[in-house]
Amino acid sequence: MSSPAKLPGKVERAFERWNARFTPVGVLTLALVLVAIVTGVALSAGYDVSRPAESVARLELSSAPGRWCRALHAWSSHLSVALCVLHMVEHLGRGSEQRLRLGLWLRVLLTLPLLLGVALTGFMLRADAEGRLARQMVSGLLERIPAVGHSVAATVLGGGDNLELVYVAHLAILTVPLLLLTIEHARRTWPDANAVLAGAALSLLLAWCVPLGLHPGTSLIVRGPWYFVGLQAILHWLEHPLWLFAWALVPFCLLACLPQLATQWRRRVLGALAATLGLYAVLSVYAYWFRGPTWELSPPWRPVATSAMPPPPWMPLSGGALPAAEIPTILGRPEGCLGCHQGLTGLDPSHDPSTIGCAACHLGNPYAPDAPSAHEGMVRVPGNLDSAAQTCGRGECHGAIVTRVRGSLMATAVGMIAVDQFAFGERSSPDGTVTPAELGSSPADIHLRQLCVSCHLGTGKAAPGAVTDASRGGGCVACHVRDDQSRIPAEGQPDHVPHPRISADVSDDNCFGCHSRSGRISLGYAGWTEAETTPRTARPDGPPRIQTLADGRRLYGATEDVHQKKGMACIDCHSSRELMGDGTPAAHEELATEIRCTTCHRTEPPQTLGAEPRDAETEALARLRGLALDGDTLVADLTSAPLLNARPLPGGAVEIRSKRTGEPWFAQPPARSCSSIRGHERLSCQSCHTSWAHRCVGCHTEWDVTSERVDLLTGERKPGSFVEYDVAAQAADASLGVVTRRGRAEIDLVTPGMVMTLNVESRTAKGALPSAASALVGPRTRSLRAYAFAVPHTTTREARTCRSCHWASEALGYGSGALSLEAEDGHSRVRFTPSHAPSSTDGLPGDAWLGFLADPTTAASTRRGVRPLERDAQLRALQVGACMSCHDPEGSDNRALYEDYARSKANRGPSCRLPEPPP
Amino acid sequence: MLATSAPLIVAWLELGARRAGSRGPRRVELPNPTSDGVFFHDDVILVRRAAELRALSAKCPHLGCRIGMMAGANLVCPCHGSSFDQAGRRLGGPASSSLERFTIEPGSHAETIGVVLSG
Repeated sequence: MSSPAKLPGKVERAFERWNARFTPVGVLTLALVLVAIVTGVALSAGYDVSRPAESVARLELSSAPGRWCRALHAWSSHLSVALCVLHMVEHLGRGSEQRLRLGLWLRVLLTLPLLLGVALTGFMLRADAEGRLARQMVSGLLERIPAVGHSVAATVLGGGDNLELVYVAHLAILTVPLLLLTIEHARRTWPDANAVLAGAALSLLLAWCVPLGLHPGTSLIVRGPWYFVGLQAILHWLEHPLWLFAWALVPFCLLACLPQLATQWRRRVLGALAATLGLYAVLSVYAYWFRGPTWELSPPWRPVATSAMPPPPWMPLSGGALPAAEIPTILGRPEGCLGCHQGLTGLDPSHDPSTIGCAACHLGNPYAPDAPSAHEGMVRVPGNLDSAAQTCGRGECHGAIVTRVRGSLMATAVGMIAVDQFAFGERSSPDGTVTPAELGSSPADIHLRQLCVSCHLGTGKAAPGAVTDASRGGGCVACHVRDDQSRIPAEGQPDHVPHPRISADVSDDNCFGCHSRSGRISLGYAGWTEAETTPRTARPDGPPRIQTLADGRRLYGATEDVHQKKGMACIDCHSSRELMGDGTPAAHEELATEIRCTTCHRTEPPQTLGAEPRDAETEALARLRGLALDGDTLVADLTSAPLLNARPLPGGAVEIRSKRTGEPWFAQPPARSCSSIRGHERLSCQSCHTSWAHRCVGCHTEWDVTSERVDLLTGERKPGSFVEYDVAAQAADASLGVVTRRGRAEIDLVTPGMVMTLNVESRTAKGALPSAASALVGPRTRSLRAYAFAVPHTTTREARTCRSCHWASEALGYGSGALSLEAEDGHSRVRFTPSHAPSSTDGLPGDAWLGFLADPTTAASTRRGVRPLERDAQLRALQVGACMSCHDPEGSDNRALYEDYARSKANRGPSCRLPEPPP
Repeated sequence: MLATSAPLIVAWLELGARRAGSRGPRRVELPNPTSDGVFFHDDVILVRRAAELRALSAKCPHLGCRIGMMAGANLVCPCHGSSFDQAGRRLGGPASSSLERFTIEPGSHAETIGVVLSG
C-alpha cells in the first residue's frame, strides 16, 4: 500500500493542537448530533405537521423556551455538518481511509450525505418561505431523474405541500441509518458528558449571537441552507439541472475510490477535491451575501430602500415572548406585528391591519418576537418607488398600477430633464428619455441633481409626515397619503396616534409641492402668484392675500381658476391614467394629458363609452368613490378611455361629479361667440379664457465653486453649487404661439419659459476645482431665449379682451412695450417701442421671443412644434388691432364687423387705412 | 427475481406518479380578479389586463419552485432568478422555457373562474 498524502503541516498541527487541548473534532461532531437529537425530540412536542408554518411561527413568537430550543437544535445541526466535513478533511489528511476496509469506508462516506439529508429535511420542516422553496427545489430536482423521477420524489418527499413524509424522513428514515452508521463508526470514541456539554454550549452561544429566525416571504432573496447555497448558485447557471447530480456524484465516487488509488493519483484527487471545495466556498459566499433577487451582483452594503429601518449592529436571540392569544393569523400566517401594534386606527377597510396585517405593506419580519428584529428591513414609507414593487405593488394589490407609475412622466421626469439639458446646450432637442437614475455629471445633470430632481415621484421619503408645500416625492404616498390625522392623538389615548390615512381622495395639497414650481400651475389654479398683484390679477372680492411658502417664496393673491372657485379638485379633471401613466411613455406633460377643455365643454357630440365593456380599474375606482356606473354612458378622454365622473346630458352639457364629495357640476357647451368669429377656428379655448400667466424673464444661473450643495439624488453634500438669480416674476397676459400637437396646429398659449443666461464657468473659481465640477470648467456663457408652451390653469368664464391679443406686443412675442399707429409717406404703419433695452447678444429686447414682425423660424422653444405666429399672421393680427382703435370691439354695434373681418376689410371705407408691412 | 420485482417496480412508479399528482389535468376554482394586476394562487398566477385574463403556471420550468413575487414588472423565480414577463414569456435566467399557460373556464359562481391545471 502506498503511503498516504499528508495534510500541509500547519493544518495538521492545528488539528492536533485542537484535539489535544479540546474535545476532538469527531467526538464534538457526535456530541452535536446528540444535542440535535435531544432538542429535536423536545421540539416535536410543539410541532404540528398539519400546520407546520403556523406552528413554527407561533413557537418563535410566543414561546421563549421553544425559540431557544429551536435555535439550539438548528445550530447544533449546522455545526455538526460543518464539523463532519472538517473531520473528514482531518482524516483524509492523515490517510485514515487507507486503514479501513472498503465497505466500512463506504459506510463512513455515506454518513455525510445522510447528515446533510437530515439537516435539509429539518430546514424544509421550518415551512417558512425558504423551507417551502427548498422542498420544491429538491422535489423538482428529483422529478427530473428520467423514468423514475416522480416516484422517487413522491417516495422521498411526498406529494403537494404535505410535509408528513419529510417529517418521517427527518425523524426516522434518514436519522436511524445515520445513527447506526455513526455508532458503527464511533463505537470506540463515544462522546462523554463534557463533550456533549461543550457541543451544547457552543450551539447555545451561536444561537444567542446569531439568531436564525424565519424568512417572512417579503423578500425576493431566498436562500437554501448554507451548505447548499453553493449548489443553488450552480443551479442558477445550469439550464439542465440533472448535471448537478453528476457534479455531486463525481467527488463522492472519487472519495469512494480513494483507498484504491496510488499515492500520486491520490494526491491529485485530493488536490482537485480541495480546489472544488474552495470554489464551492467562494460560490457560497457570493450566493449568500453578494447577489440580488435576479442573481445580479449586489453587495450587502448596497443602500437599502429609502425608508428602510437599518439593521441593528447586533441582535442577540430574544428572550421575550408575545402573548399567543394576541397574535392573529392573517393571510395564513401569524402576524406578530399586531402583538405590539394593537388597536391601530386610521386606515380604510382595504388596508385594515386585521385584514392584511402590517408586513404586507411595511415588510419587516412578522415572525420576530422583539421590535429590533421585527423591524429589520421594515420600510417606514411603503409607497417609495424603490420598494413599491414589494409593498403597494405586490402582484395581488396594485402591481399593475405601480408598473405604470414607474413609467409615468411624474416618475421618469424625462421632459424636465430633456428641457434642462437642451437649455444647457447638451441636447439638440427638448425631447429625451434620460431618467433621474441615469443622470451623470455634465453641467446640466449637476444642475438637475442640485435644483430640480426632488420633484419626481422617485424621490424617497425617509419618514411619513404631513403634506406641506415643501413635500416632494414619496412614490405612491406623494398623492395617496395625507398625514394630517396622525398628528392628533386619539381621544383618551395620548400615546396613540392614528396611522396616516391612505386614500384615493387626493387633495390639491398633494399636488402643490411640485406643481407650484416651474409652470406653477398649482399656484395659478389656487389663485396665487409670485408677482406682486396687478389690477389684472387682483381678486375683485375680498382683502389682499399674502403668504410665504416654506421655500421662502412670497405669494400674492390673484384670480383663481374658475374650476377651483366651483370647488373642483385637480383629480376631478385629471384621470388616474393621466396621473399614474397609461403605459405609454410621454415626452412632456401636455402629451400625457388626456383631456381638453372640449372634452366636457363640448363643441360637438363627445366620444362616449357605453356600460360594457368597462375596464376593471374604472369599475374599482367608481366603487371606491361611490360613483354608481350601472348602465351609464361616460365621456371618453382623448385615448378613448372612460372618465368615470363625466356623463353626457341631453342638450350638450356634461355632468361632472366630484371624485371627493360626489357634488355635481354641469359643464355647458361653449358660447356662440367662441365659434362665431371667422379666423378663430384654430384658437384653443385657453388662449382666450386664461386670465393671467406667470412670466419669468431674465433669470441668470451660474456655477459657484466656493459653495456646496446637496445632490438631491444621493443626499450627499458636494462642493460647487448652481445658483439662480431671478428677476421679479410677472403675472400678465400670456403670449400666443402656434402649437402643433397630435398632428394639429393650433394657436395656443406660450410664455417666457427660459429667457435666461447660463454661466457654467465659475466667476469665483480660484485654484483647483473639485473633480465633480471639472466638467464645468470652460468659457461657456450661454444665452437662451426660449418660450414655453403654457397651461396656466387660471381659466375664467370671461374671455380676455380682443385688444389683449390684437394690439399687445407681449401677445405676439415681441415683449413688453408700446404699439403705435403712425402715418409715413402716405402709408399707415405700426411701430413698436420696447420697454426693455436690446440685448448685447442678439439685439432683441430682454423679454422678447422674436423681433417685431420678424421671421418666426429662428425663435426657440422648450418644445418641438411650438413657434411664434407667421409674419403674415402677426401683421394680420395687428391690422385687426389697428381697426380696434376706431371700432371698439366691445361695442355691440361693432361685433358683426369682427365676426366676418375679411368681408369688413373688403368693404371698408376710404378713411380706413390698414397698416402695411414695414418697407 | 426479475419477474417478481417488475410488478412491484411498476406499482411503485404508478403510485409515485399518482402521489405527485403528475398524471392528468385537474381543475381549481379561483376568485375572478376584478382589477388589473397579477394574483398569486399557489400553483396558478392570474394576470388581469383590462378584459384579458391569463392563467399561468406558478411552477418555474427550471426546477419547479413556486413563483410568488415580482421584481419590477416581471415574475421572478425566487430560487434561481429565472424571470418571465406577465405573459409568461421567459426573459432570462436558467429556465429553458416560458411559463405554462392554463385554460380558463367559467366558474361555478359569478365571482369565480375555473382553471384547468395540466398534469
